[in-house]
Amino acid sequence: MNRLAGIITHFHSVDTMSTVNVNTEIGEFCCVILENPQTATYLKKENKVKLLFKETNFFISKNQIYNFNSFRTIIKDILLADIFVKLAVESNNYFFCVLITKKEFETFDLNLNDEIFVYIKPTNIILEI
Amino acid sequence: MIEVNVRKELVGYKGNFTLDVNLKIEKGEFLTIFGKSGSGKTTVLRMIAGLLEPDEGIIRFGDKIYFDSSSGINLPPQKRSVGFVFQNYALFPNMTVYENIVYAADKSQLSKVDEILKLVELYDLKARYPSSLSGGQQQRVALVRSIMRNPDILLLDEPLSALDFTIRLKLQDEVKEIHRRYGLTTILVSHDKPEVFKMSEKVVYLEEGKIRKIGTPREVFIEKNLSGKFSFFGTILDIRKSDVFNIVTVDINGNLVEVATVEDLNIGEEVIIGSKAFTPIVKRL
Repeated sequence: MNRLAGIITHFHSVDTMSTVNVNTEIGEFCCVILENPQTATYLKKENKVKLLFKETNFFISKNQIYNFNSFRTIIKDILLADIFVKLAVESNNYFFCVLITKKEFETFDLNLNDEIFVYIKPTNIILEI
Repeated sequence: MIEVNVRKELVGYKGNFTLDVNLKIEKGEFLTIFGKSGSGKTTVLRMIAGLLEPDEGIIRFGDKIYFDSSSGINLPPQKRSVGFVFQNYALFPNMTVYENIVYAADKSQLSKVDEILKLVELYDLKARYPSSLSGGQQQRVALVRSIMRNPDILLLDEPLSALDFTIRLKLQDEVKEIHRRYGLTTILVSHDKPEVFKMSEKVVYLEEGKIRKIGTPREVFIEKNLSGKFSFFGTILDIRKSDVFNIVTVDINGNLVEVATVEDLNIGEEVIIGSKAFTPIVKRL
């Protein structure tokens, strides 16, 4: 599981669902959670949280497609298996593990030190306190 | 209010440790002490009942002091108003159901016996001996016997753990009903999370003699430090390598699930299996 520390900058709640904006050292992320300030005491502006990303939940691209929840990375390591490929990518001295299928890996023709953009959907980010 | 503030040196399977518990229980509350074997759960109950003496501390029910090491007070079990139900029933084998119950009752309580026997469906069995009863029926007798003296506190030491699933669910309902109907203050010891969740208003999570967490079952078990709503506690049964993943088989309350992860985990570890609430599909059966 990838972890990234950040600070809540904004949130908007409707019923028990909230969108939460979190500022981190590699950019601003938006996530959606089934909580509101009454059900989750950590849901306050300026509170520290960690963003959790599952390794298989990333979308990768050679160019930046999204201007939010996306960050530029450099491929630092590649581990080829039969079905999946494990990438170690670095962004602003943060390392992330990204698992993509071999099909994606071959389609994007990825190599060590290539620049790739990584995107994570707001519904795929878990907050950890 | 019941105040239990006690310390005692104990010998556990990992060596010596200090039981250090400070908790307050409101009158009429249903509290569960939850924890692994050897965490000190039963020891707390036995100290409240007077079956075991703390090294130091105080135990009191309102103004009634059961134990106070500073003033040398240590009431014997029979002077404490406590009902105790053990896992192994502890009935007199040579007495009928009715005699087992009446033996523990005040004369003023005798009119209540039939009412409670009907409540727990034992009325038709009151002339039977314990050996002719099922485990669930014997535990019902033990439960009725424990409340015959209108105890200040009802202590339940894993009373349902030896029973099969269906009987356990039914008895959980009956214990809750007895607690509510007779306005009891009840402390249950259990290591069964669904049982704790169903029964308790408050949970004390005990680990190696220390209170690690206290709160409602939701606060203690559900409000983990993750925002993932679709999450469960489980125990790892098996780990096998597949491609870049570890395929982990996890027992979640009897349901086995497989999760693909790259985390380094060990068989036997307790884990949280979590996902965003947006991810699982729901399909009509």
